Amino acid sequence: MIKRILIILLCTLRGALWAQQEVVYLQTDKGLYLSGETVWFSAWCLDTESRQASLLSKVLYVELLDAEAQSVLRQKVWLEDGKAQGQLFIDGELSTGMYYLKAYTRWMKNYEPAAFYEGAIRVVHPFRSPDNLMAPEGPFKSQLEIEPNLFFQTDRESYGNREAITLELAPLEESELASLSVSVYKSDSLNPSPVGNLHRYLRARRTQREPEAYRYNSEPISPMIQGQASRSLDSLFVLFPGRNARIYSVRLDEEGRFSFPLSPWIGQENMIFWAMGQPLGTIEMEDPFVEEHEIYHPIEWDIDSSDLPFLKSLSLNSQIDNAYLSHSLVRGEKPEPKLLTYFYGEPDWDYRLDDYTRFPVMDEVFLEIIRYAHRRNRRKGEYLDVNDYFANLHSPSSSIHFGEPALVLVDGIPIPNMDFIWELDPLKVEHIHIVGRKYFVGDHVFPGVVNFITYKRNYAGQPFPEQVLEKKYQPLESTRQFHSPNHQEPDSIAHRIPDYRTLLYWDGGLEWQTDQPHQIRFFSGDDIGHYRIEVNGITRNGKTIYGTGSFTVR
Amino acid sequence: MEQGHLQSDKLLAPCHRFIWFALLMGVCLTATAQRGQEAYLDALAEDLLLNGREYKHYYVRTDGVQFLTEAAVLEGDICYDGICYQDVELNYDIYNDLVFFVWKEGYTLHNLAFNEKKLTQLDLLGMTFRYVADSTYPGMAAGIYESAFQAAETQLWVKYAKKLVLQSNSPTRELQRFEASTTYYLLRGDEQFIIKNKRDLLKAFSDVPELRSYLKEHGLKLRKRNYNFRNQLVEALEFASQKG
Repeated sequence: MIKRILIILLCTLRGALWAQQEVVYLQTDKGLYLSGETVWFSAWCLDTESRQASLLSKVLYVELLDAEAQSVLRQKVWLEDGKAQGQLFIDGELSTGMYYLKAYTRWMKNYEPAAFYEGAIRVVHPFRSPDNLMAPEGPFKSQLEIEPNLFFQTDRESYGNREAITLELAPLEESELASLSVSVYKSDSLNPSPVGNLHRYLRARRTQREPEAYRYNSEPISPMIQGQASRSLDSLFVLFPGRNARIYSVRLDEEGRFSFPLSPWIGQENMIFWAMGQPLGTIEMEDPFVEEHEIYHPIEWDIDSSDLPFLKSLSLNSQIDNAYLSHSLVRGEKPEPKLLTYFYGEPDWDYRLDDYTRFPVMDEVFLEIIRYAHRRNRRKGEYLDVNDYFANLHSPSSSIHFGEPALVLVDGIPIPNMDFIWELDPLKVEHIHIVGRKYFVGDHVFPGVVNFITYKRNYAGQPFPEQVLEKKYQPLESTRQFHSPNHQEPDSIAHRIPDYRTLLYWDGGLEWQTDQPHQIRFFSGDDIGHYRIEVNGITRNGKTIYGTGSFTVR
Repeated sequence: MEQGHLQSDKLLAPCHRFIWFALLMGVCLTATAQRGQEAYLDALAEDLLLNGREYKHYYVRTDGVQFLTEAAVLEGDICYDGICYQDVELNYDIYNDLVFFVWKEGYTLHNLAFNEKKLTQLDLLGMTFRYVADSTYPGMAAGIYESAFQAAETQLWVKYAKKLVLQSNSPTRELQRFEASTTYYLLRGDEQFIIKNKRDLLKAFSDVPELRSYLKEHGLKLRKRNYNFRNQLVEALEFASQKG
């Protein structure tokens, strides 16, 4: 009894006094890639103690580093219930050599960098001589063999070209929902299974020492931007211009620091800071990625002449695939685009200027066409005054307006002063959107919005005003769908296209009820050889699952 | 044995008190930490949700309300602009086909309309609503629909709407009332059906002859004026989609 109480006590105190820690594991589809191939990966972000999905983070940072620990590819991916899927495209810029994958969350940056996930892949550029292949031997060499706890079987041991292959996962005793990744790829001594294994990784993982201070907030609901303004500002807005324009109000602390959540759907790569006409000074943005990395587990790789035939065959396959297969088969299918919408939704009044007589100056456009926004000139300066939509709704002849300056934008970017609008060439403007309702952004209320939308959506070709500051933003990477051909479809064109894929199947997000059998079906290609099946994953309650198998295509 | 127990109890008596005290402290600290985490999440959610147009639709001299139910404010879960929020005070105006968020600022209430195109899911009153874009299903206008049934080849979408009609019993003074209507869209593969009664359902599932006897056995009369038409339709679809 006493022992039990003490255990509860320790656990309770630990939960109260020590912060939750996260562990990230990333599984790639295979271990060797050629230029022009895609690294498919799935990742888990778990609570270190419970091994259940971490609720602290919604964004995973993934980097590909070269042997000198320089970042060559960087990505932000969305974590849904502690699971992420993504892909990295190996372009022709990367030389042959060992590359290292690092994955971490913003919360993990509070701890030692050794806590980040580190894995390795091999990249071969068939037309460039290798460099940096030799590195000191690291601990990955002495890996423990893990007994598989998931059993599956293919319907046969060998297949002919373009035959259907059925893989059946055998049910486990416990009924739990598991999240798995399944990979089927051409294997060889040079193309070993991906380095690492979730079970082994979690077992080797040590609890990190608590940091002296937590400098980084977690991202529990969406990506955050964090930075510091050089001067104190009454209000600060962040705008994302374009067809999917957005506006956010940012709160600053006494020292000008800010930390703000954004929608994960933002796809724009530039963001605009604006302080409602106040001089902005400078704004320092925190780089969400880690500036400097260290490779903790370097791996030795030495290509010798015996590997060349296999590499040549892979290179040939890759060239054939890139020449004949559709883009979606090589790089995956793009997800459906999100609906494009301005932050205010549908405008209350939309003037498509082509529907009216064209006037050479904007002043005339407002005099002759625009009924619901008016040019005003008061002591506080010139502004646009918008009609109240609700007053207009009940009494259409009403001209009740807000009497206060509306938020005026050109292509979603705020304008420095009204002269900009009067000097704007109306022939460059396609639409004028008017929102005749108060628009709430954080603590601020704008009495209406007027957005001038130009044909080219480029701020009428003008440089951005001095009162705004443009900064780069890296949006979340959208997850592509792995696509594999169906050779039983009666499509004569597909039958004539060569299929030399070395990755026959990948599913990085398989949800499996563990007490139920599950079938996976895919097709062999034209390339003969030995193929390996790898299944990795974890159940909702933190039990790791691992299985491996193989078959031959003759 | 008993003596041993007594002795150990005596020895551990002061220890017990400390353990219980420490346990209580631990629970308090955990609760405080949890409250801190919840407050942080609420602050982040508010930062994101406080972004919208004012909703101020009032209807004077009108019988009824524009909402899904008579309640002015409901609590629901919403997935908006890529993020899911729980227990949000909101309501669904089916006359204007928009959802608004109720924000309390001190003693002032503000209603902020959600941009419906960013609404991926709304769970309200045990129903799940989704925004359907113009191009998603031909024959269904863009708007918010209840996703009442989803199977591999069969989907049931319900459109709740209201319109304003003049009251006939008020010749001297213009009085209006809200009149509700519900349309049931059944999608089977590439085909679309509007279900008004049993006959429409049987026509949509003409390849499932067992459906007629199933409806009879289970007393599913499927008359649209029945208050539980929707539930009966869902029950029938569960059976039909398995057989079809």
